[in-house]
This record gives sequence, C-alpha cells and structure tokens, in this order.
Amino acid sequence: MEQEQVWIKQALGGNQEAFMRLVETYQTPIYNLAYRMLGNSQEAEDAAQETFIRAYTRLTTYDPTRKFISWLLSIASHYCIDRLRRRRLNLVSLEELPPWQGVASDMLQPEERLIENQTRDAVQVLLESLPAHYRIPVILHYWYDLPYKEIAEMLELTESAVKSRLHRAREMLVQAMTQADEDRKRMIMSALQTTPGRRC
Amino acid sequence: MPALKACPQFSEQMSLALDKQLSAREENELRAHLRTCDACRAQWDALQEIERLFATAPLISPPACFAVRVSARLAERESRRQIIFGVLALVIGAVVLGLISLASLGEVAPALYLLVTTPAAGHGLTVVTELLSTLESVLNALWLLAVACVRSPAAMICTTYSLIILALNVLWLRVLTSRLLRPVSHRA
Ligand SMILES: [Zn+2]
Repeated sequence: MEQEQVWIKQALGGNQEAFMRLVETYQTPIYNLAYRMLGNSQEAEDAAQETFIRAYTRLTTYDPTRKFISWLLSIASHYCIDRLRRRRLNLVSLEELPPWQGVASDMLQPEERLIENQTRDAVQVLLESLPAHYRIPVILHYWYDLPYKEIAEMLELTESAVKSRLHRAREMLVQAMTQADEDRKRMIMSALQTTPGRRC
Repeated sequence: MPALKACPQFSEQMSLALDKQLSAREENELRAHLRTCDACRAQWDALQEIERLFATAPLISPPACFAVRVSARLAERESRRQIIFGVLALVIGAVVLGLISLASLGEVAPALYLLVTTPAAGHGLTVVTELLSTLESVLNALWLLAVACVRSPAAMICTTYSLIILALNVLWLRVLTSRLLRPVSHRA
C-alpha cells in the first residue's frame, strides 16, 4: 500500500516507469474484467490497455482516499459497457481492431476463433447471456468480492439498484442455464434419432 | 418445456440470502417456503449451482508482455501529443511574429496599394516603370525611415525594436527548420 502511493505520486510527476509498476501489479484483475465483459482475448487486451492509458492521462483526478484498484476497475467497467454498446450499434468489429494488436497469438484465424469459443468455460457462456448493465455488477460481485456499496460507487448507481440488478441477473442466469440444459438434451435426443441413418 | 416460475416475493429473498443480507427471521421464512414450494426450490438449487460455478471460475491473466505493450502504446501516444503541441506552438508563433512584422511594414502598404490598383491592360511598359518607381519609393521610404530612426530622439527604442523582431524571426525560422528536418518517429 505504502509502495503503491509512492508509485502513484511518481507517476503524477510524469514518471512512466513508476506507472508501469502499477500496470504490472493490476494487469490481471483489469484484464480479467475486460475478458469477462467482452468474451474474447483480442478485445480484452485492447480494453485493458485502454483502461491503463486512460488511468495515466486522468491520474490527477484519482482520489487517494479510494482504493487504486477500485478506481481502475471503475474506469474499465465504464469503458467495457461503452464498448459493448458500440458493438451493438455495429461500430466496432473484430476485424477493425487497431494494429498494435499484431501479436501472433492474438491474430486468430476464423477456425481458431471458433475453437476458442468452444473451449470457453461455461461461466463465460452464461455471462454473455446477460445485457452489459447486468453483466458488470455480476462480474464485480463474483470476481472482486465487492460489497453492494462499493459496486454502487463504481457504477454511479444506488445501492438498491445494484441489489436489484444482481437479483435480476441471477434470474436471467438461471434461465440461461436451464435453456442450455434443454438444448443439450434436445441435441442428444436428435443425435440418437439420426444415428441409424448414419450407419448406411 | 420452460421451468416453473418462482414466486416473485421469494425470488429476491433468495438473491439476498446468497449475499448474507437476510435477517434470521427472513431466512427462516425463506427456508420454510422452500420446503413447500417446488418452483422456488428448483430456482434455489439452480442459483446454488451458479454460485458454485462462479466461485470456481478463475481470474484470467493477460497474455505475456502485456505491460510492455501498454508501455509502447503510452509512448506512442505521448510522442503524438508532443507533435501536436509542437505544430500548435509553431503556428501560433508564426501568426504572432507575422502580425508584429506586418505592423512595422505599415509604411510600405500605401506603395503596395498603388502597385495593385495600377491599370495594367496594354501598358506593360508603364507597369514596369511603375513597378521600378514603386520599388524605388519603397526603398526610399525604408531609407527615410532608417534615417529618421537614427536621428530621432527615440533612436535607441526604434533600433532595439527592429533588432528584436529580426532576432525573433531568425529564431523562429531555426525552430521551424529543425522541426521539419527531424524524423517524426524516433523510438528507443
Ligand atoms: Zn414459491
């Protein structure tokens, strides 16, 4: 904690090295939030980078009485919500990502992207059934173990709004889970029915 | 087939129960209801499965060298910002110096006006003569100005002013040429 405040002070003075120590410290929680929100490694990388760039340029607005990680998570949350909204309006496509992402492992071919989708964990599939405004409180609640009050501050909501969004989100998750179960059952049933035909 | 819908008043209680937000009395009420209502019990079981799933979901780490890429992007941004500021400073400098220089050329303006308004059609020779005489009068004007400057009581102020403008113009030209000649991207 002590060390963190020193880094922040140095970064405020224009020391990029000190800021990079902060990036190294918080890259995993921030990347995880972006990945959980956006659902693919390419966009998650871009969003996590953007979060840190924004944090650096707005460092003077950071209130030292708040936890630094809370401030970062709040920047990341707003950015990802905005990004999902733009994606819905079709303003962002995966192919249009900026060139600084030219890392070999990130330039997935369509088939590879498909594989990434298939191996994605069940949690991610469930999360993606939620609209952005419900997805973000769920992520902040489950991965960062934050109380309603802190989530409310981050998202500029009231505590009761957070409470009801979590509740609604859980209802939607139950729905998505039962839906997925039924789809799986239906798939197995239809596979059983078509098996004799395939033998010929 | 859609699952049975849980009772709305208990659905929210279940969410609060998961977050340990219920009082002992409310929790007992919920437990009692769950024993009697199949729809709510199915919902409660599903909610607990979701809790288990999410509790075991890992924190995903970024690919290797993430911090290096952030650093590179930050540096790129900074250099772009510096170029924008540099160009802005140059433009403002040029405008300000231009205005100051123009003010000192005020005496030449009438001569230039004469030159512009001269009817030139079919009078090439006249124009050339006019041009030469204008140039002569401009030079005369400048000479007179210089003489007046030196002879007037404010000679010091006048020459200092001219010298400062000259120096500023030279300085600005040097900055401009050094900016234009330097390569735009220079990374360590
Ligand atoms: Zn019930």
